[in-house]
Amino acid sequence: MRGRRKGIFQRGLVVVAPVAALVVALAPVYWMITISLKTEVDQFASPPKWFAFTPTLQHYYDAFVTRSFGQYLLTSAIVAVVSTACALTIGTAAAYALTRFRLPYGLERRLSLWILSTRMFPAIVTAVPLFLMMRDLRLLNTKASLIIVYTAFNLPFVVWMMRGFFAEVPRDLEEAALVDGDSRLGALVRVILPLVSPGLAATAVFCLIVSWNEFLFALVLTQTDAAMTLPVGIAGRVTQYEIKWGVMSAAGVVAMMPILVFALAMQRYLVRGLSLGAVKG
Amino acid sequence: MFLVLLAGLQAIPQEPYEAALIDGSSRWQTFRHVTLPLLKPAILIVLLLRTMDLLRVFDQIFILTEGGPGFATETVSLYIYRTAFRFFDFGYAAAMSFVLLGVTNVVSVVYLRLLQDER
Repeated sequence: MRGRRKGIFQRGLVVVAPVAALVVALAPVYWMITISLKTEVDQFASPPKWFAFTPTLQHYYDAFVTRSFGQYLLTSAIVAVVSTACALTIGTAAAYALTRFRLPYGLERRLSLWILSTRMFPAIVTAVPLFLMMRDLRLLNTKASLIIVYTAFNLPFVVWMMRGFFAEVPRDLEEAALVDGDSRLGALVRVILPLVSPGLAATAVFCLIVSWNEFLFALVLTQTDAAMTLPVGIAGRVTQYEIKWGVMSAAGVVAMMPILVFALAMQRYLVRGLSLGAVKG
Repeated sequence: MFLVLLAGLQAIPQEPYEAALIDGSSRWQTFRHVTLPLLKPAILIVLLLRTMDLLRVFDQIFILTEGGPGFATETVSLYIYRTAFRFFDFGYAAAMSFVLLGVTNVVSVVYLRLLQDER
């Protein structure tokens, strides 16, 4: 009897702990969604209205029709997609070279670590020089500046992820292709890439998410409506005179959607990708 | 962080647990003397990653408090940002960036050492 009760208690704990963690993690998201649907009076009601309020889509209309959040959304999408494509192209080629060719003094190993180390320093460290470079190149307030920066930012990650995936593909496969008279590039594109396509997809999603969420560089490099990304646009609604909670939340909900969809679709690979390189298991 | 720890947990083989069970250890003892030591590399890496995250944290603080009230929540990143893009003192900001780079470099070297030991 005693053992049984203990079993129930322990099983309860097993359920309660993750649920508590989930509530803590998701409460702000819930609050954002409700605020985006509340009228401004309901937003500041005291005690707060947790569930019962009359929903309104006014804030969504304000954000995407009256204000230029539609444009921010488009900018974010273009920048994220183009920079991801660039980073994947360059990064995949680099990773392939690092896994398949031997350099003198084990240089390829050292190079990999150097590439990884660029991921580790704080973004703000590069913000100042990048701002000055972009200013001199007259690229401030353009999508091109963000695309260049995000490509550079994502490259090390792509190289490391793809290096892991390439290392798992046996050399014999491409050697067979080479013996059959295919070129190196042909073997890479026709034989190796299809094999690592799940990894490629996961890496792409990761880059998309990073570029989509990036805030600091977008803040520093773009100030005009035409080049602003969604996160910066949302943060810009905090002004001296008022804070547009409804509009910000509405835009926030929309900004969250693509990430949510991607993350759910890629769940399996994301776990794998994150653990890769951290703990060999 | 959760995902890294989860991966670390999943990588622990079953045998030590069976051995502990046979030796009659309690749940807590098993956790304390089997799970934690085996999870140590993962925990170390998580700690280091979080440390570096703290050195670079910017978005949340910038949006929530902008370093205020006063300078109560100001971090290095925020101070550099303010120096460069509010007061336009790029030289001072660049110098601070360089020092910060040095500090993170030390942490990264430790991290990379750990990673290599893992292999």
